Amino acid sequence: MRRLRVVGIGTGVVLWGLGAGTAHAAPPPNDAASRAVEVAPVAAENGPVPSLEGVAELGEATPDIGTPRCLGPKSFQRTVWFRVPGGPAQRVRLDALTASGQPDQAADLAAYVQPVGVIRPLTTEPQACDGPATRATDPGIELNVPPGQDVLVQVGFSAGRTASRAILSASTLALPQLEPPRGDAVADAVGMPFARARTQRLRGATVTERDPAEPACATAGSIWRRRPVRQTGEQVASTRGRDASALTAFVGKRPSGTNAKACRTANSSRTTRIEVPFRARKGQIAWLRIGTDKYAAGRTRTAVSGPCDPTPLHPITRTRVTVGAPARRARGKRTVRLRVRLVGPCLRQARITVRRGKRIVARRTLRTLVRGTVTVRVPRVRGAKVPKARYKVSVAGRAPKAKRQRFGVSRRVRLR
Amino acid sequence: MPSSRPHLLTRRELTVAGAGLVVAAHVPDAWGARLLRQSAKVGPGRFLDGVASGDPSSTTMVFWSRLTTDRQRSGARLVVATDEGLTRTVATVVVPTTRGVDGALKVRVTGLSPGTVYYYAWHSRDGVSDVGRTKTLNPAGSAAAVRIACSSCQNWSQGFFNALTDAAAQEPLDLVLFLGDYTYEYGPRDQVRGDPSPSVDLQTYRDKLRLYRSDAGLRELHRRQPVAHVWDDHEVANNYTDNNPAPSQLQRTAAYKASFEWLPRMATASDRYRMYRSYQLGATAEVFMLDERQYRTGFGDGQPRQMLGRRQLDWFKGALARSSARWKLVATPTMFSSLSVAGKGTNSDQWDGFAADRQEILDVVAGVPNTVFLSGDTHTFFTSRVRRGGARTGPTVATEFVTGSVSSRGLPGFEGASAQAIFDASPWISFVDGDDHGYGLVECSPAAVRVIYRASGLDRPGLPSRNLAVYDQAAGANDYVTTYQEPSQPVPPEVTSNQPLPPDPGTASPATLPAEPGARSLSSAHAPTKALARRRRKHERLVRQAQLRTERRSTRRRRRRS
Repeated sequence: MRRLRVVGIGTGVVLWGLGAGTAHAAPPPNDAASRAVEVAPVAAENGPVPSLEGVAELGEATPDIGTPRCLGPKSFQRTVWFRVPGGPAQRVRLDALTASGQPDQAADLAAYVQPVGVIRPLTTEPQACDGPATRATDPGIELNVPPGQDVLVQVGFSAGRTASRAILSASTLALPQLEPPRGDAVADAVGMPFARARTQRLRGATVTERDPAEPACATAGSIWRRRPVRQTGEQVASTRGRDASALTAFVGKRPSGTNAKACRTANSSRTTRIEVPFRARKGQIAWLRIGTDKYAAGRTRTAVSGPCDPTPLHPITRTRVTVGAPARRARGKRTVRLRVRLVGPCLRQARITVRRGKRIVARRTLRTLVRGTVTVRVPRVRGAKVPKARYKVSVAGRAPKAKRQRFGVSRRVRLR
Repeated sequence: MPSSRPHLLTRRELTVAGAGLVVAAHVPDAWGARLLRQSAKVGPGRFLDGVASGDPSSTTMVFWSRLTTDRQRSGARLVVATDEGLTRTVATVVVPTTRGVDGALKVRVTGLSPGTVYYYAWHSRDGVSDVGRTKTLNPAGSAAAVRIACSSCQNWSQGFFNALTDAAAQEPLDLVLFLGDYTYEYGPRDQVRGDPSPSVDLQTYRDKLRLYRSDAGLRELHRRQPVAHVWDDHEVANNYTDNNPAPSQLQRTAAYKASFEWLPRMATASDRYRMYRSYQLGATAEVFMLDERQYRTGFGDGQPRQMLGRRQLDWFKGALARSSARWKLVATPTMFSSLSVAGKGTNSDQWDGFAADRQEILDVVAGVPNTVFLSGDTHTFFTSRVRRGGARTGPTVATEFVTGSVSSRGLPGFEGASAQAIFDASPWISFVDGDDHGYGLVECSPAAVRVIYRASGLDRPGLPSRNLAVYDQAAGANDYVTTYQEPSQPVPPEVTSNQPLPPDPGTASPATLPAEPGARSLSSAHAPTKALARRRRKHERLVRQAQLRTERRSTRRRRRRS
């Protein structure tokens, strides 16, 4: 009896704590995710309406216990749920509109992509969210959803808001059937080498049910890469490509909304580089999410490296170049591979130039993050079996933290 | 066996309750840690839809533009300066935007100087916008003259917005009032220009606005003049407030939202889509903008029939009665005076359908001299005397100028009605012209107000504008005098055709201009500099030539008809 009383009091306090201050009178029928209402078609006098409508009556709605509050602890204080049915691969566009006659208070909006064939709604991690907490005047979400997957939509108001109604506009656009790129889902995240740029395909990227929302760097689709952290300190992830819209770094066993460390969005529509510095400890796993807003996107080149020197880069003294002689097995028939090891800060951009005498014999430009060993191919000297010439290797570039700070360093080497 | 101890919580229960509180307090914080902050920064995008300014006061202005980008978030920097080269910068601000607002950039800049012309431009990572021009309102108490343009009803498919090109070319106006039907929801119709699709949801309303903003005249008007807009029905759907059938909440809200996204104005905290408000143009004039659609009731909703809604009506009556400005300009999207056509009755979609509301307003107007109604909706130029007794009887208490349409054709509700049929049934109306399309230019000085109807062709871009009619109203008279009327216009019974008409003010000598020293003049004789006088003389010569050509053409047409 006493045990029951103890359990009862404990449960009561938890529930009271979670649901304190909420209205309890006659909540709307779609107050819970399990009772989500399907968005409905509407008619117009002057033509067919492609969008679907959901009227969110939030006056008496209650919060959702156990569902993440994607936009902060005060968000989603009163919520209702809608369902956008799945179909072929589709771009789902969601907008929460403030109804006429209501105060100027934007709604909170979150989208949960559901696995195929799910019976119980999966609401442990939203895939996208937007609202006034992200300084959005009117929240809007755009997602590329894989075929056959429904989207649950949570519409709500934060604590302290007095508005009682919002209108959900949902529109879908069928996308061509494309093979998903490698690492489209978190579970399929591809491992990355250390300090080496790799090319990723973004074409066909979608948002899947385990992708955590990151409203500051929202994109319609994304792919995942992961890399165990070697040393504690500041790491830098970098991606470069016309179609990459955002880069987000998560650190933990698996990415979630609570362990996103940093994100950046692309600055330009043209070919651009996105760099994200973040801190991680040795042994942790860094998860990189490369986002794109284009479904038929191209490719991007991504690298991760670290730890980087957190202090501003000193032009020459803090950058060391170690040039190693090529191993015998590394010798090609027409070229010799010269390995250049860059130690010190993570470089934003570097150009390695190899000179023999005054003549430039090889050059390599690295546009993504650089730290570690880089190989430069040096052509063989005609007629000589082994290029025993003296070379001068120089590295010039820019650092990530002090973008305008340039550096240059060179060293003479002799290949044997 | 009942315990003798008082019924208090045990230590274990307290511990569990405490743990519960800790869990409850901790969980939301952990969930809330997901938000990464991004500062507003200049991002990608191009300015393909021009620039705009509006919703002004004497020290503030709302600046608008739109970024076209495939990114979900971006931003741009606004630079405001007092010179066209943007070197004397007075404000600069980075404005974020998202896909949720269709890339719209809007910001209200405060701390500007009253009655001052400003230039502005937007910068993104991918480009720079056109340089816009705007002007803040005159300071409170200023007796300087003000100039306002007044337009309505621009139907893309029915013609080019040449009238707006003319309005844009005016020297900085204090305000351009757009009184409804900024867009038409209709889809493809075989007319002057193709309109690809009807507006029914958020995306299609945005597409419609983008299409309309691609008209050179409209874009230029927004670039060069500050605009205040109030909607009528076609921003949503034709006569949607009659609820026959009622539009879906999605359609109505989407249209409102798109309209707010694309026009330079900010939302009101207490009422998201509130549009009714007043603009104080110094001591010379005050403009009252009325929203006659959003709060309209009485059509199948079980509520009393009201045009403005009680809250707006009370605000308007109070503001009008309190106004200390010389001229009270009431901007009403639908015609305020009664409009009867012989054999066809009245149109209940305008104020004729809301007699009680109108009478309530007239009772206030009767005690407020120098009230002038500026209206739209009818696609026709009307000039009318507003009478106290339900607008049909009693003494004249105000005047009304319906400033035609930019391009929409036909008289809604009375298609095919002749001017004579209107004069016969509505003798308070003294001018009717539904064949020409244009806008109205209102010049207010403390001594008088002058209203000029400007008309232009619709069939191809770049057609010149001409004066249709000019009215002068002296302060305190509550009545107007016809100063000029194009000879080809039908004349109502009280104006005999033998009455000599004064010359066109567009070519008038300086002596005919208002004696008010502060009155603005476009005449070369009043130009402050020699260079400006030279430019104005050239402009006047071109205008004269254009008018001459138009007159010759109309004479030839008349001859051919006869």
